Amino acid sequence: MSGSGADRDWSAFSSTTALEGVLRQAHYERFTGRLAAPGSVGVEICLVDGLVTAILTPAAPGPDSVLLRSGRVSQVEWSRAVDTAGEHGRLDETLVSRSLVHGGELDVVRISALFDAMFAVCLDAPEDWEAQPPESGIEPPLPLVPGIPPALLLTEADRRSTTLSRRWGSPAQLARTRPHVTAKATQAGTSAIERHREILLCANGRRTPRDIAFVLGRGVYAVMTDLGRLENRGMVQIKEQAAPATLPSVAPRRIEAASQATTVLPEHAVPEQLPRRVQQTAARAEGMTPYQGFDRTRAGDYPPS
Amino acid sequence: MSDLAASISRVLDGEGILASMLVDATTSLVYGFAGEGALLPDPDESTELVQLLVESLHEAGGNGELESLIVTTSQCHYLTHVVPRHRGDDLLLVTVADRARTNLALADRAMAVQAGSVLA
Repeated sequence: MSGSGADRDWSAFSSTTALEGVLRQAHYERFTGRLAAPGSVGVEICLVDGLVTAILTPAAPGPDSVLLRSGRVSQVEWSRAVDTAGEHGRLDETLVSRSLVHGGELDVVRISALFDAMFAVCLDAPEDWEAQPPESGIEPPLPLVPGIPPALLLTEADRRSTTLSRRWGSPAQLARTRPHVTAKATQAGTSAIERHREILLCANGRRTPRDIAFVLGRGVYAVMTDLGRLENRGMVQIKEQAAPATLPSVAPRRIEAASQATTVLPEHAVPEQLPRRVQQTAARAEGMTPYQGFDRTRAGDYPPS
Repeated sequence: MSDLAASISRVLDGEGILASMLVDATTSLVYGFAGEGALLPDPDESTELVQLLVESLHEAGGNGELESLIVTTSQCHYLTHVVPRHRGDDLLLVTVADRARTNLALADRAMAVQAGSVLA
């Protein structure tokens, strides 16, 4: 990372939020513990000596999700590594010593996940934060030690937000959309690079960029920028999430013919129109909440006495 | 020093290499840099250029993956190598070499080797 957070001008941020203020104070006081947002389930920022080592949020895949969902580490190998590391062992060292992932690759995954999580949190940053002792809550699986100065994380989040705003409009709106592939993406002769093909296979009109990120084991911001590129090429339509209807539709169901097999999407990827099943699945997906049931205990107000 | 920081610093061992950085080709996040940082190109511009090249090559029907990109000026060589990864978004190893002290072909070969080992 370039530069040091200690000598940053904190007032230079384009917006001042409660999160920035809390992190600035935590960095100044070399706070060790957790900053939790009582109003946002599952959002916790873990700090050691004022440096951010991990961010737990359902809004972005953590390093464990990235390693598992991308196929770098299999579930079986992960479970064995967790067992070997034990409750208080170093999972990162175990993963490297078992040659499941290189040390440099693990650093990249952890750093990128940390920056991505901060960006995701900043998209809808809670106003209220409270300090908790380090041992409260669940242990982050792969903390980055030493951590990253909060100023660097916030500056990068600001840059990402600015980049998206300049190219495609409001990042917060983009995060709420449920993109779907267009007819152009299914035309013969249209091609896309492998990374974009994977996104096209996931963009079914029901998944948000965050959902796609979890499916592919990629960062939310990376998925959003790729969606923007695909939209610019007319291969994806990004639309606002429709408001839920107050009354069930009485329109007759219409089964449209499946599109022809294409260059971009393989034949099996063309979704069959099953309205009833699709609606039920979508309803279940809406009801799911990551980290549901997570037991939160308040341990005191910030700053710690 | 982390494994990653040590790997990036090792790049400077090459003859005439003035600076290097490891940058995410999708997000433009700089994972680390070594040497004279002021000489390094803007990460956003570097990644945007690579993205455009990758997509343009693909649309033109080019097979294979982009490996490297070389830009020369009267003072420096800018060498950008795609870091080979089994999974994950592309990473770019961007190096700046002093033109007066560097054989371009040898530097390109050396940086290709470094790109292959920077995550190991």
